[in-house]
Amino acid sequence: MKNLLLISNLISALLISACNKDNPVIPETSGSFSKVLSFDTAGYTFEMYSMSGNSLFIGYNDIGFKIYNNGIEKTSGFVKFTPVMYHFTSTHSTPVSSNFLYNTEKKLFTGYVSYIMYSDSGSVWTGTFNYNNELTVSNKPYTVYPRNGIQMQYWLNTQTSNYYLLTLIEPLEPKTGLNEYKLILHRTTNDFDFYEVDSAEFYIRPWMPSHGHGSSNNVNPIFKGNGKYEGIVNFTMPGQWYVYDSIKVNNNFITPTPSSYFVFDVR
Amino acid sequence: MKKSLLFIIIFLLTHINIYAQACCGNGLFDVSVLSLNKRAMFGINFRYDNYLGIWDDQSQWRKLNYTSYQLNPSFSTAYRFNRHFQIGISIPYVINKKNLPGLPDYGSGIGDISLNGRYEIFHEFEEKEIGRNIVIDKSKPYLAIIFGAIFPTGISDETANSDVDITGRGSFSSIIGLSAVKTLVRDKLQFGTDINWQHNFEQTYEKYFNEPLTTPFTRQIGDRFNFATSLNYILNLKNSFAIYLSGFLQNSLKVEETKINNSDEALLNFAFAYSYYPTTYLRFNSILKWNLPVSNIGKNSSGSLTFTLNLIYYIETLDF
Repeated sequence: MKNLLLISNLISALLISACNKDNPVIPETSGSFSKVLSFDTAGYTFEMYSMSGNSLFIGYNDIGFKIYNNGIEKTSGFVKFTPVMYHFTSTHSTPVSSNFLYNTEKKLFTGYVSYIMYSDSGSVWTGTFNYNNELTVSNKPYTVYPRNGIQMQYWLNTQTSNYYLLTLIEPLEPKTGLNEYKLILHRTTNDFDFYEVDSAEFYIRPWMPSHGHGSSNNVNPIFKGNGKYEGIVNFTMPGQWYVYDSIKVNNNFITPTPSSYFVFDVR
Repeated sequence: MKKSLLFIIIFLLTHINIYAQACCGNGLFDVSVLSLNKRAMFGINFRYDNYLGIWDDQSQWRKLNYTSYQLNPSFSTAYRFNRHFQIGISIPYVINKKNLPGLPDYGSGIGDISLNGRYEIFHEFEEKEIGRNIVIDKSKPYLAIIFGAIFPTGISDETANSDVDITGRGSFSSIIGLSAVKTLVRDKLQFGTDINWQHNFEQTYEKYFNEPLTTPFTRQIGDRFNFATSLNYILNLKNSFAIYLSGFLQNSLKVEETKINNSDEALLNFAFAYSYYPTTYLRFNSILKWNLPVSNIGKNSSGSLTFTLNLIYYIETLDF
């Protein structure tokens, strides 16, 4: 009952904010980040920024926060952000940086959120924001939008009893030739606590199914920190390509057999 | 002994058809068929294929945003054994160029050698006996059974180091078909058609792009129906022109004996050819082939602008 009331309030808040034409959102930027959310409470101002544009999108989003206390910008400490999605009968979270730390170059507390779903009439995202354990603001609703090119793979590994979530970061608009191939890998047992999987070994195999051939000059993604992996994928011609990912953790393959794959419409 | 040796050499070095060896090939053009007054031919050929785009698996045309072309010099020869039987071979050399940033842009090597033969059932304007008279038979067309094989002598994606190193398909192919020509206006206008069925055999990959595989796999390109029709206008003894409509339909490919959905191929080509005969034993032939860069006339195949030059030397005979 309590959950239903909360959901009802959240939906109302979303609808009201969506219909408020008197206060159009003017995009503000910080370097390559655009402001997506802002609110004031108890003398603090929280501003949330995204590198994906002036909205949050399904899939991987580089995120930054600016925190002001009585108009003075905070440049130390940390921000914790906990996204939760409310459905009518269930809730879950999504992969997110454990702490957003201040980046002096970007002048933001930086990290990421990797949204596994976008908002719709029956599914509402909320965020709990915490600055340095000094102030917590709970259940602020916001919208996550769909976006083309986003892909995720989610599977259960019965040997480890973990669910694994592999999210494609790049390429979202693949082109003929060499493309940076960036991914982030998480594991979870409960859909609330997602942990970055570090030091995994990736083996990729691009394949053009309708032509029955693959490609050369690919580079298997290697670990870059915080669950992220980067490699190179070669799409030798336009058309639909699959990229199969086989992943080893602690010398054991965690990917299903046959391997799952991302699908790319190469231009 | 001399005759046997000659037979073996000619069998290995003769030519009729040239088939594309790349994964997304083109049609066929018969430029070197021996007429009844020719014993043998030797041809030096040069083909330039400038790739413009592809038709995807939904038959939508996608223009390439990079330069990709293939140069294909080849040597061909053919030999006529008698009034009915001739055989030929083509030995191509393939040069690939492709300018995608960060990738090798040049590769070359011997392509897939093709061996072809034809058994000619009828010739046009043959003499026939009616009672005691010998008359010219104007009703029969030229008709031949054509057969051939393509040998995987080129470098395929199994052992190539990169895309541009691929000069062959990697698997053996056999061909059987028919070739017909009917003169519409004697010494002026001919209609010709070639159809054939190309069976492509399975290839087992132990490596892929020269990297060893933990589990080998098999791939079989689908069987292909090739067709070409032509209208040949003979201007005079030295000059002729032809227009062609050609193409192919290819079945779905198989990987590990499983048919891959939506992997069938199709293509339609247009071409214009000009032949010049400075003497009866020399022929210059040039062909301009193009594809219309629009959707729904190809599938899983490449569209290109192709220019071909052939220089052919004939050994003539009156034996047939």
